[in-house]
Amino acid sequence: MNWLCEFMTSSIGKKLEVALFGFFLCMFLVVHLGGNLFLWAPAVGGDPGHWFNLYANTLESQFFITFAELGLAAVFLVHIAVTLWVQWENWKARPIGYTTTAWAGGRTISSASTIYTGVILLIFLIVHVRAMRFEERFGGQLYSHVLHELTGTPAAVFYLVCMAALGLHLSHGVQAAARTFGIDHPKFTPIIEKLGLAFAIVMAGSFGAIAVWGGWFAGGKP
Amino acid sequence: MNLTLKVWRQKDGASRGALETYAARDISPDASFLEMIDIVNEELIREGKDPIAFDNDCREGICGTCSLVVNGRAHGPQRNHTVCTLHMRHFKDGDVIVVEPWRSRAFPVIKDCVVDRAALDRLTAAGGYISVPTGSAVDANAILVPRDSAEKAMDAAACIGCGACVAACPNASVSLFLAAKISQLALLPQGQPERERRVKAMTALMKAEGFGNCSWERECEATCPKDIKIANISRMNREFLLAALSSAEH
Repeated sequence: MNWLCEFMTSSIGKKLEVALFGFFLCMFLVVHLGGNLFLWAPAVGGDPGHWFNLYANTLESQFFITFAELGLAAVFLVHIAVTLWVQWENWKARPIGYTTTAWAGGRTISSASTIYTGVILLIFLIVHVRAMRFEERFGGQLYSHVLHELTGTPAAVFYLVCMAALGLHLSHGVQAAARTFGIDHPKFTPIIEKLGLAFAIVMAGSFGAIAVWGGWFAGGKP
Repeated sequence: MNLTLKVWRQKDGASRGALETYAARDISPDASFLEMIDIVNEELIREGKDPIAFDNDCREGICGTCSLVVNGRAHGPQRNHTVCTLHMRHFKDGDVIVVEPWRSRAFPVIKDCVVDRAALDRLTAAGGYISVPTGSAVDANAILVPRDSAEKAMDAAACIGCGACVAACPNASVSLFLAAKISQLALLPQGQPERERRVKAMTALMKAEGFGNCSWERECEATCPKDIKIANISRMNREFLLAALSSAEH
């Protein structure tokens, strides 16, 4: 098993782990967004939260939900821990920096800010999970709890800033992950880059739209 | 042209360095950047001062010896050029120019703007070659190489080993240099027998030498004087992944 340990702790191995677990997190985002869209499902019998509560309660009652949550937490943990390890090595690799820095044109805002948008998303994750998962075992009424948490300018601005960070993070992360896996081809790479950007815009835009709706239009707080 | 230079001066690897200011007077716009430093150095020598130490050799962009960061850019502002082929016409009269050495833990400063890049030689020695008996050259047509592979291998082989990719990378990663060496051999039939051993040995040493990790910032590609592409880094990752999974070695 020596080879596995060497592989996992190698420079490229660590990047492959970040990319693989980042890919899992992207899949989670899709599932999470799909669930959140029930917030906008039509009201049933005057209850606007009927479909969303039904979805949440059905999910909550599954036998695998605890294992799924633990697995998801592990995916987040590996993605974050290995990234911090890689970043620590990167900082150590240049103990004395330049007095003047001018980028040559390769770097973008999203690539330069990936570690910082990652930190913002980590803060968001802690706040979001605490508010939506641990504060409320929701007693079947997650819809009203979500509206209560989202309503108001401070909450909406916080969510919007974090979703902008998500967009920047993904716009670099998706195409970087593909390259890390060795996918680079004159025909496919431009498509992957565009798909990565589109994924980032759709995810950040959709979650951001929910924040705008919850913050200013849904009327969650009296 | 009259210019103000702020140059990194450092007595040796153990000393602390700092930027020192010098005037470069009556410089021809047709002078190369290194000739401009030569003129400043002649003035310093006349004044009995220690001249600025900097690496240089061919002064025509092919040996990979020159290694200056000019105004924050490895090899200066001109794309696909080494600093020895950079000319003063790319600056304006009265400019302030900051000159620093390559910055990386793996490239310790020897003096002023001269750094020790032996780490690149050690990486090449770890596997950037093919083991063949010496003797008369094999007939060029004896081994067929697809044109596309030959072109890509030649593009990768254009690397002059200057280390600008490390200097320009925000993470001080050597991935582009390493990927060029690995690609150049992985693309050719002659490189196949040692393919797995090569990528494993070279990437292991990359970590041991203290270089950073690639995060696809692409500054290396934008800075490389030989325009080596990051597609080579993807190829290196493929080689590494295949070697790790398929190699019978434990």
